[in-house]
Amino acid sequence: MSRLSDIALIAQVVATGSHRTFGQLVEAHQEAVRRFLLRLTAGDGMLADDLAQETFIHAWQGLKSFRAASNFQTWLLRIAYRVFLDEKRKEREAHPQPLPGEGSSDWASPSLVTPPQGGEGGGLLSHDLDRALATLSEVERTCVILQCVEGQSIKDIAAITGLNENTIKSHLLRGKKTMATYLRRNGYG
Amino acid sequence: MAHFKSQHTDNDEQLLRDFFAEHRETIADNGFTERVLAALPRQQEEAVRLRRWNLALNGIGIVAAVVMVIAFGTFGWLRTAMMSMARRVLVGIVNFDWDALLVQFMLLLHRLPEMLPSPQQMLALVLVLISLTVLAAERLKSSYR
Repeated sequence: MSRLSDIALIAQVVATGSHRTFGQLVEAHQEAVRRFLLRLTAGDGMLADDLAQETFIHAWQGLKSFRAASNFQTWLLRIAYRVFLDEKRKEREAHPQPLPGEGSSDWASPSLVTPPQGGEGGGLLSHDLDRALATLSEVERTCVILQCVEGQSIKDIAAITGLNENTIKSHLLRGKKTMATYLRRNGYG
Repeated sequence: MAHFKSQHTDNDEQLLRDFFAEHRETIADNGFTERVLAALPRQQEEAVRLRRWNLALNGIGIVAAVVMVIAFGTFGWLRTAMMSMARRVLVGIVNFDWDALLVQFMLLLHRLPEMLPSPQQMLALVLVLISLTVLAAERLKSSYR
């Protein structure tokens, strides 16, 4: 969907509050949001869908604050990332890690790197992908997913994550190197 | 050395590009949009509906008020009453003395029943006042939002 039609639909939703029109926006962007969250949650399709649903509800509630100067999908991914971080914080509060520093800052906790069971992202290919991504730190993983899976620019990644562009570049460099090493060790390349 | 490093990075980039292309997946909607729409809070849609009703009722009120003002000659009455009032005030000012003012006041009281509008004219006037008040309140509310 083009940026102009996104803006036209958003204006219509803000003016009329129409669910049906908002549905067109959800339909157009659900794939990017769900795939991003699916990779962030290491292939947990149910959790990713719950978070994606929450993302769209937040988007609906805050649609008036959307500025046409930015890209709608980037705006949605930023919300999705915040929703994901909130979920992670809740998860940490519910299950505190006994040993600080031992991978505790990483979302790729054992429950999330275990092979996904069916549903979206349950295929063997995506299992490989999630295992490869699990070798990265959380922030490296986020940057790599946004660039390599979602095709976002460094500027947009900065808008989504709130990180500095130079920081993102170094995370990408390190993350890609780690991932390439892992892939070579596992028979790719 | 720099050349080797750059080639190594290029190889990594190529490997990752191939890997991600091979693992590219599409996610079908499969009822996701419907689930999102069903979970959306209803307040916004209701607020818009309410605002529309409000506007429609205001519009009807204003049209009715204008029709009644024209049909019942409220405007003519208003003009006569205002002119009569202005005349008295002017006479009072020109020939100002307390006795004259008292006489004018007594005359006004005496003629008041004739000057009052008919019930229909009164109704039209009240309707105009209500419509204007509601419009002003709406305007004030939206400027505070």
